[in-house]
Amino acid sequence: MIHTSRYTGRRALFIGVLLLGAALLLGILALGLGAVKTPTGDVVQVLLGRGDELTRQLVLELRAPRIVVALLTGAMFAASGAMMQGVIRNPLASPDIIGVGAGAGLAATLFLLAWPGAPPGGLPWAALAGAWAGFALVLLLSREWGGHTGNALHPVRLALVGVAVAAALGAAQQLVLVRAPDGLGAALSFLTGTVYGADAVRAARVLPWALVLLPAALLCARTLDVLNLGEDLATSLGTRVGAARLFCLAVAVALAGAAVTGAGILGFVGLLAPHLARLLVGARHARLLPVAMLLGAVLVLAADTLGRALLPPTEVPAGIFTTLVGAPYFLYLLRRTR
Amino acid sequence: MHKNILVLSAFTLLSVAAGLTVGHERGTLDLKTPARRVVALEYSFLDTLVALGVKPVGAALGLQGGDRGAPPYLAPRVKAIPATGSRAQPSLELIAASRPDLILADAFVHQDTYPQLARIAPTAAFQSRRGSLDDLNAQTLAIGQLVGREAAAKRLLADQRALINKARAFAKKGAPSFVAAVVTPRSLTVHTRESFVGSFLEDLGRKNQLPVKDGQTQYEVALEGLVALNPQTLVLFTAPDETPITDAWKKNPLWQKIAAVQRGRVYQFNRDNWTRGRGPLALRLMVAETIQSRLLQDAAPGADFRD
Amino acid sequence: MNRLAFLPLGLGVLVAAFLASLALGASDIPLRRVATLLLHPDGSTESLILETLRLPRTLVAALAGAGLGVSGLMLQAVTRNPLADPGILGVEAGGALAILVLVVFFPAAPAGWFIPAAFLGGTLAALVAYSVARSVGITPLRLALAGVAVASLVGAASRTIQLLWEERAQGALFALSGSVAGRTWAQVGQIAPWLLAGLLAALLLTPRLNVLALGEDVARGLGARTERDSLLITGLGVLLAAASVSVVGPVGFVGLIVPHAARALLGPDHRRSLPLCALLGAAFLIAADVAARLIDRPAETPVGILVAAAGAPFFVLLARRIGRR
Repeated sequence: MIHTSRYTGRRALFIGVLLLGAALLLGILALGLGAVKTPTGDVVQVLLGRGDELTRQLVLELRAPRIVVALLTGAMFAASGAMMQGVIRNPLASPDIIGVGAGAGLAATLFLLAWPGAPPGGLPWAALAGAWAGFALVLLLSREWGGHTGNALHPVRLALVGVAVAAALGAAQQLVLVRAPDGLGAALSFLTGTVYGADAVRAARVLPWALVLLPAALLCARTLDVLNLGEDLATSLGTRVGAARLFCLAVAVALAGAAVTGAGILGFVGLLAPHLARLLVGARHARLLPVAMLLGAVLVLAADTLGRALLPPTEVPAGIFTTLVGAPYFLYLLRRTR
Repeated sequence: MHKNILVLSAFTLLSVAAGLTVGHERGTLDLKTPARRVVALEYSFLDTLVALGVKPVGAALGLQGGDRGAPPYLAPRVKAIPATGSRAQPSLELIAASRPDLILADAFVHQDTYPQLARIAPTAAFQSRRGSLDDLNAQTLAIGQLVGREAAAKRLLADQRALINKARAFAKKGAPSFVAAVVTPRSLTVHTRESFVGSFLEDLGRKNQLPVKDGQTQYEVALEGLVALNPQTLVLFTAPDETPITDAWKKNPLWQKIAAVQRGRVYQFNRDNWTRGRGPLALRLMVAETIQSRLLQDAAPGADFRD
Repeated sequence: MNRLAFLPLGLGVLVAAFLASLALGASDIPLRRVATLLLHPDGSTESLILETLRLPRTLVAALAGAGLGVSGLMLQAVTRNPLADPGILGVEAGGALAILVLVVFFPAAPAGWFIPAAFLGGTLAALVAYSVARSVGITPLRLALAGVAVASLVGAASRTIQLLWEERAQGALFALSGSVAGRTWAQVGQIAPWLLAGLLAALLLTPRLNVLALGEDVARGLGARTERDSLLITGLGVLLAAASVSVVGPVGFVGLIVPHAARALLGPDHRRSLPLCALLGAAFLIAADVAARLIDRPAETPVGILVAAAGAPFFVLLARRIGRR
């Protein structure tokens, strides 16, 4: 508890401003990077409303929407993870583990392969539905059936059942994939999480969700702090623990599900960002949540920019970078939590 | 007389002014003038364009994603065309930079990128990857219209029809049915009547043994399954740079029990040429190879097509 | 009824599954004919199918099933964790990655390389997951989460390969989902020594397993060298699983379901439950393989997926029970 003094509001504000600056800088950098070389001067010209047609197209129509989508989905995954960790009171909880990712993956695969004539653009909605279904399944299975205890959501059981359901859905997805003659690539690149092909339409699709859900997440901050005190204490403070948990989880899943429609499943962002945020500004959710969002946004944008600039014109999906960084960190984290 | 010519030319002028309208999988495309700068995102489109004498300004020739590249018959003819990413992941930036006035995309593979492609240039989507022979022929005509070479496209199709009719004459009446399969180092996938190669060979006059199975136009079998099917004629599609799984199966005495092996009627074709081109040039090559291999006559395969 | 009667009963089930596996397939062979052909092979198609395809395939399924079942039992006992399963430790994901790497980067590699490579990959993955969980004290949740993390890390690597080399990887997809179709005598020869020796060693170690299962403190009090023993048994468990996975690919949940069934039937004494576990594991995988070839014949369905589909609900149930404690 002595350490909390380190985490002052001023420090949080400073770090927030720093991250905002980093996001801005990275965004400008990303505007200038791509398979086609665009000199800095030309990019600046375009931003000032001048510049030639091609550069304008490259910068404003191809790169800018990607950056917006990367920032938004990163923030949403991070917020989702932070809330799940708060509710489940387990530092290892994240959208990947709680059935959301697996549900979305299975739904997307089924949608792509079982219904080849599907209306274009339907894929993200299928994934969204799958994310909710996966989560609902986990919730349903980890509830106490027939019991009458108020503690309907036991954290450890939730996490374990989440792992189990993810394994089950993964097996089902394999069953579908192995019968697919082709189109495998399309399904897989979506599952890996990528911002490739994000356009203004997609950005516009994610934006309303972000505008509603991100503030909603911030409003949950106090509830999350109370929940973190433990069940008995929270109850004595007059919080209806069951309802509060359910509401926070619903917001968290909605965030992850909406983010999936923008960029697929960006592995481990929902885990990594909240933890880094906790290291930086402490565990109070009013500070933790906004910093985690900024971190998530920067993380995904950096991964996408790297993926674009590394081997042009090949695009390495951002989700691969986030998983390759996130999974080892997860293992490290596991070692530390005693 | 003069009047007639005048009226005629007025019509021509009118039709040019009205431009051209071509339907495709995602709607219809209105072009004021035939397209000059075309980007092709599938090999079948590239094949068609080359056959029509149009040089694309860009094509998904990239080897990213482990794409095996243009099929051997096509590769020497598309060397000079700039690559704009791979088929699975076309580079939108490179496509935009090549300033196309028409993009040809696959209706399935590029269904998610279609809106973005359409914003760069008018984009037509066709069923190439999952297209049947009829689909592909319809595309040849549509692409011909889009690039203003409808007559040439019609000629290609007529030639192809004639060639196929000629090939049919070779087909032996009452020859036993065949099983066609794509073979990789780890798997053998049989192609039914409704698959592209399966239906093509039927079109040439030989009967495919396998109907569609539970909606799957192609499915995988093991050696035991192949022995159970016991085909009288076996057509294998392999890649020369791979060791097909059938090489391992040949060591098993069961292989010798397959009727096609006993009859010496196992034919082998280049998988890349047969399954990845799928344009007029590829089809011409496929008909020629089918005749040369003596598959149609139900005779022992020629030297180049022996397994 | 004497509970030990379950042992001969298990043997009976195994024999029945074995015979069914010889008789059923793309084309059925009557049992009487199977018996005749086994004793007097005559070079006919049916005889060759039995001799060169179904016998090795069935033996591989039997060996791998027994290996996975016993491996699961040992890992569950030594970690005192009912969720410990070779699949959850990442053995399968590791083996699959190794196979994928071979298929994509060394397409000309001889078939003999697949087993050692998958063995190595599986062992490495399990080692990482296990050591991470062990370093902080193994609880069911930690072990499961460590396994998930390792599996998703390895899975991301696999997916990267599948994505960047999509067309080459397509051929490996079938192998990656776990199958015993087309296994040869050479492959039986490659894994049989490892698995038979491993199973025998496991049988000899059962008294120590019993002691360890009492908990480290009790075991130490009884004079056992717990550190050494648990390392030995874990190593043996991973070895059995990796050897199995190396030839059949990822077949999840056998190592989870079978030990629970064996313990439920014969109680916690490993001297009894371990042999039963081997018998049931072998019978289970053979039966699943028979189902896999009949479901869509003559096309093959990967047995691993079938097993996973059957095992996953069981896993969920188990997770619920453990989470309640």
